[in-house]
Amino acid sequence: MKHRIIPAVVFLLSIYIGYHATLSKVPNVMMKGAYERLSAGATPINDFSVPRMITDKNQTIVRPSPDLAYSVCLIDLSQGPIWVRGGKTEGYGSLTIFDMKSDVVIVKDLSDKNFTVKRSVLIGEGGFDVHGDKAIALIRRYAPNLESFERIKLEAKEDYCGPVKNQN
Amino acid sequence: MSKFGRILLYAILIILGLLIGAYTAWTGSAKIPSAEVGQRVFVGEWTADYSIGTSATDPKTRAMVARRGLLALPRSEAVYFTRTTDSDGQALREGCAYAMTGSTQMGSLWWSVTLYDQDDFLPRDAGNYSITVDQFEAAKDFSVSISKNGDLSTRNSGAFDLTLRLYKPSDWVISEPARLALPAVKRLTCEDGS
Repeated sequence: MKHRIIPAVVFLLSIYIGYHATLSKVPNVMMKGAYERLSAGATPINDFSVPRMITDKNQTIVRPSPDLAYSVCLIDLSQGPIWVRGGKTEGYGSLTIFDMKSDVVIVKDLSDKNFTVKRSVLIGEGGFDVHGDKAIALIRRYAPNLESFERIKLEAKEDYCGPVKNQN
Repeated sequence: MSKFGRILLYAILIILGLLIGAYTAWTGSAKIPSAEVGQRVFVGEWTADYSIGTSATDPKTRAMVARRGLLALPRSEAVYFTRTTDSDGQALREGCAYAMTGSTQMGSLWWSVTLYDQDDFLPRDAGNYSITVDQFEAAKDFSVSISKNGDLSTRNSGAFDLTLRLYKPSDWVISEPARLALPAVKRLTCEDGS
């Protein structure tokens, strides 16, 4: 009897460990994959990409919204903290910082008409902790048509993602 | 059994167990979360997870959100409702035509409905894969067709789903989601006659 119970327990325990170990790593694996795919797709490190609309031809992340213009900055803190700022936007807009566990570290409303919301954040030493040396900054702006997308391209000139000493 | 045989048996059992556990976790996390996972909200056939974007959720919810909603906004900015079935509970599929009707007022600054294929991407060459509230201007109600040549195109989508995004939701959308009146999706016809 003992010869059968022990192997069965070892087998079930292995399933349990494999299940929970994998589950806990899924967010990291997905974020790492997204970071690498975006990097391979010419998304800059410590700089915002120019805004772009997502279509069926250029989608790299699951379930993108085709009604938004996205600007992405791949944050790398290995050389020090990074300053991130989202330019104000006439329509809906938000700046979100994600850590590599896929958690939202901070989200900023860029459409605040009264300018009561500070639209810039310091990431890394002295600022927000992203629990590692990588993170993703994502700006979303509502772009229902070509006209609004042209406006957004001008608004995005105020976006900044880079070393603290260069921010202006 | 010899000592070598026992070691080999345990090694196989451990490796096999770890692989089965890993496979179950990976494939299971790609599914739409069930009622007991996260902070599930049900409004008719639409379901949402209000725990998206927070770190205070259990590992299973976090894995599911990472697989199906990576880089999603927290509920203060947007809530995401998804449906995979029509108003009769039948799975949404490419070969059928549907009518989606509802109120343009859904307790948010603006909203959109996007059609995703069975792999969670915008369907290839479909064209019309999203609608927004702005398309209906000041109208109180809206009605759109969902078919291969409809206002929302099902072309190349397979077993698709619809995602309704409510941006900058009102406080009551979070605290009392049962008050929401979300769009109905009625099946009209199917190519196979079903």
